[in-house]
Amino acid sequence: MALNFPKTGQIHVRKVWTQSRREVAAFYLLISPWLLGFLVFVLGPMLASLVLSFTQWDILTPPQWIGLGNYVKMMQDPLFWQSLKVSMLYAVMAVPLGLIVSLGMAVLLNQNVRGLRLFRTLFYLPSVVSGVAVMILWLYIFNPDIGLLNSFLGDFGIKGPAWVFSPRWALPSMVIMSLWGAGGGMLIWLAGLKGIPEYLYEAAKIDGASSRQRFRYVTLPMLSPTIFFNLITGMIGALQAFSQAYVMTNGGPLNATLFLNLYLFNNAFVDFNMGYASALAWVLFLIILLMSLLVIRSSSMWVYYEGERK
Amino acid sequence: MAVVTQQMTRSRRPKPVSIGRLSWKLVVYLLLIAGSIVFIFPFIWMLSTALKPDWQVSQWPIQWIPHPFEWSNFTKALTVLPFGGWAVNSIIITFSTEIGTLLSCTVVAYGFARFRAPGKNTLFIVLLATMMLPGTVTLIPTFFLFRELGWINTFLPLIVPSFFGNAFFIFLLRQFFMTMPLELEQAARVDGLGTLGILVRIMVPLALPALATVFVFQFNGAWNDFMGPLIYLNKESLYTLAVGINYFKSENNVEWNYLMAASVVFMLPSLLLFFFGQRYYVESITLTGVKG
Amino acid sequence: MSRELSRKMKSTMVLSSASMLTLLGVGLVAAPANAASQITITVSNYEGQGTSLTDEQLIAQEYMKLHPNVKIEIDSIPNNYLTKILTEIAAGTAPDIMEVGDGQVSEFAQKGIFVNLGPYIKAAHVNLKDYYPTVLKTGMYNGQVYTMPKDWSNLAIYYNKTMFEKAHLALPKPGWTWQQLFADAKKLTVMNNGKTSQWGIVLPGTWSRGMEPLLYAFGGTTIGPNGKYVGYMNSKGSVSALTFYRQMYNAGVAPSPATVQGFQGVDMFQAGKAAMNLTGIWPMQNYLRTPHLSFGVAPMPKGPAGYGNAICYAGYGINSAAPNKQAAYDFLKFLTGPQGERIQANYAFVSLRSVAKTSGQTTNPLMKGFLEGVPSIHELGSLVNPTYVSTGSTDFGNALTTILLKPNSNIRQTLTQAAQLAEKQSKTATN
Repeated sequence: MALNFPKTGQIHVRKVWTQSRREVAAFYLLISPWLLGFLVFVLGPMLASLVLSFTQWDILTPPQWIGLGNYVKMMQDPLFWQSLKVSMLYAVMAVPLGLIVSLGMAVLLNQNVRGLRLFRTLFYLPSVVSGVAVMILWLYIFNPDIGLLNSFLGDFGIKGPAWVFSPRWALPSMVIMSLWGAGGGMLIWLAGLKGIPEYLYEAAKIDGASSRQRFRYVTLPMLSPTIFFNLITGMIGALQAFSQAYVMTNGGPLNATLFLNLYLFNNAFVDFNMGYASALAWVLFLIILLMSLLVIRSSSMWVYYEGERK
Repeated sequence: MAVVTQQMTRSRRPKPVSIGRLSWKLVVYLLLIAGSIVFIFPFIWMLSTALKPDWQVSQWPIQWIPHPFEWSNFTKALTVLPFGGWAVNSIIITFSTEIGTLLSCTVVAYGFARFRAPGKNTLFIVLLATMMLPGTVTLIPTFFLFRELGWINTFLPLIVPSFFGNAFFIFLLRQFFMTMPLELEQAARVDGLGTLGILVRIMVPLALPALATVFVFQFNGAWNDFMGPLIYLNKESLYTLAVGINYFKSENNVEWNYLMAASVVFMLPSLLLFFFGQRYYVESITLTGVKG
Repeated sequence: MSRELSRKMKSTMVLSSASMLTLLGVGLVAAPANAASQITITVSNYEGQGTSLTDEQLIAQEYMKLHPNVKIEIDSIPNNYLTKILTEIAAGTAPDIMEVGDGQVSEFAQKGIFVNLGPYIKAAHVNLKDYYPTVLKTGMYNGQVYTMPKDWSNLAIYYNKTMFEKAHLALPKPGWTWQQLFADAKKLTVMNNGKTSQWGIVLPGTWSRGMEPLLYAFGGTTIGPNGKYVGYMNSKGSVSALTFYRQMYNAGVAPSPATVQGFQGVDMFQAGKAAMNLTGIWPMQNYLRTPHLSFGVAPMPKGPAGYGNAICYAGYGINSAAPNKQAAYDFLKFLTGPQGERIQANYAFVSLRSVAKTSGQTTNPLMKGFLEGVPSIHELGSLVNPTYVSTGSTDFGNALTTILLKPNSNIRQTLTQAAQLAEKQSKTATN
């Protein structure tokens, strides 16, 4: 039945025209809520911050136009480069690891075992538990002298590092913490896994595919839209990382966890340099945009949409 | 027809048991239990702290079992501040934004997933780009905007934007819509369903796992939102729980036991919702509402 | 009013023009005109439930009883206070009276956010001489009062009596020296199987304000009276103070800064794991409620250059855009005067010496340990140089971290680099 339905491209030329005009209208009608919201609530503040990035503004007194001043200052600001390095390094570590760990968790929780609902809830706990409690606990875990982690390592004769309190280990510690909160990402993977129709697996089985082959030829391609989503949003999230460092280290020790987003927040609301903060934000914006465009460009090669209309 | 096949194969059937399967199961259980212990840890700490007398909180090594159990911490934590009113505010805001988010994001995502139009790709990039600028620098301009609208000290800045879509959720739903076979819709179109009919009767039921995910995320987001209510509301009576809970900590003093007692109660709705809501997105793939 | 309008307009110009463009058809809704005969005074503070939120409300209620035509609205912002206040200031919706921490006083005064309270104080015949001079001074900029003290604390040493008696040591008393403190701390440190089971003292680690008393006692400082850093932050006194400070850590008498930082929520002194604790008044109530904890408070010890102390201060100032400044001042006067202070005396140090006396703070043996240090409170760096918080303070903090984290780092060199950096930054930080 479905097969008889004519594909758009096969319809008579004249019909295509009307069809696609209706389609264009339908598209714009459907996305109109977002488009309107974007124009009313989002675009203005974004443009305002862009304008402010060309000013010197202490928030307390009116802004002053200084042209490219903030951007010039940035090039010579060692803390900008340090924070850029921190954010990039963090993203490079946290994004792939986060994807793998949360996918692993989703696969585990997609098994047919008893007590699944309870296990899922427990794995999801970190996403709802109070942020302060989590921070306190990590501090206990990472405490160099009497913390849980180093006591544990000590039992094996290993002298653990000072973790978040060591300039060298602070950033890796942040990555470890981010993995612990992978439950949110897991949820999206789980929804993705659930969305793969069972009949595809059945068909593959009938064709004699092994479980590894089924993963390679059914799960992965069907999951690729989810991978794409988690990759893009994971990148955006990691490059804008902020709160862990804000509550736990305030960028320290010795700027080892000074994320770009934290540095610009401190500029904005601690040091009263909103103009400079805006410039930093727009540079971060451009970096994220460029990296996302690269991923989006490449996506046609590895993302498979079952219901894509080419 | 695909629909029929899918429905049939959804039913469980007994599988042959093998050694490989058994040991795999064992590994799965071990990992699940290990993970659970790691993840439940902070919650246990919260609960234990919530039941301690204040001086016991700051003892080391951590006393996991409070002595004595101060059950009154809960009653005190929940009555010393106007939590009732704040809870009502939180509920109003959270559920309004749920309605707004689910409605708008579904419609917009469907548009992006299925319809071709000039400028679509650019608009999609723009949609993604709205997530890329740190909120720190748009906070004040956005505040200006809502001030000009006269919305300060009302719930409007917290609720209204949700009716205009959220980039993260639109992107998420778009991905899910795009994995659904086109044939279903085409069949429905032949059956005389319009665009909206297809969306409501075919796409939404199919996307339930994703929609449930959106629901859970949005609930968490709105329920825990701190900055929004903090910035836009100036009256204590208008505050939400997420803001109110912070009264247990100030610059130089944190009342850990009360803070944690209130936090445990505060996180319960999210947790219960997740626990009991699972069935909706775990077992919801069976197709409904499709006429043959 | 016209002044307020022009201020608002200036600061909104850039933003509005950009955001207006996009408002498209959405019309502006004018804010409803408030034609009430009542006066409303809005106040913002960052108090929590456990500290003084209820006291502040009590004071407001008392005031409203006396002034039925005035309505006091308190907005307590327990977290991210500056973010909210700055946003409101930019938007012209900031409250009439605002609490700020000591770091913001000069900045807000210099930028014209706070009004000079001098004329109001004079007109109201408030006796400023009754306030502790060092506390009052923390709210001043260029010799004028901009904020009135809300609450404050300087620093002192808590000591565990039981541990001192067990070690057969004399209890610390006024006039003791840093050398004595160090010697005591050594004797009070107990090792078990190569692990410390009891520390001599909890030191403030990388918290610069906390270690400033030591800095001053050794003749050091972070900033000169002229607002310069080079020659002050890296002076001989500063170097010897930090040398001594690091010596104490290296001797193992204090838990490492990381350990202390890693114990948010756990108080080593309260837990009976440390014999002394250098901090402010904040944990005192908690200590008093702790069973089996017998403790006293001694003033900061003396160094080669005498006594030194530092203050942590919060004050209230009046928004220069407030529509009714006189009414706002009238409440401020009540709030920070004898009536308000009497209520506040329940939990914090008061600033009026007469109230301190009548409320019993001066005779309380625990509070005395702090109050004896009040005359030696040093002026805060931010009062000398408004950019101090973002320049000198940050750089000194980083130097402190380097010195403590790297036991072999050169103290003089580290301080000199920090001073030079701070000097450079405060030149470019245009204020």
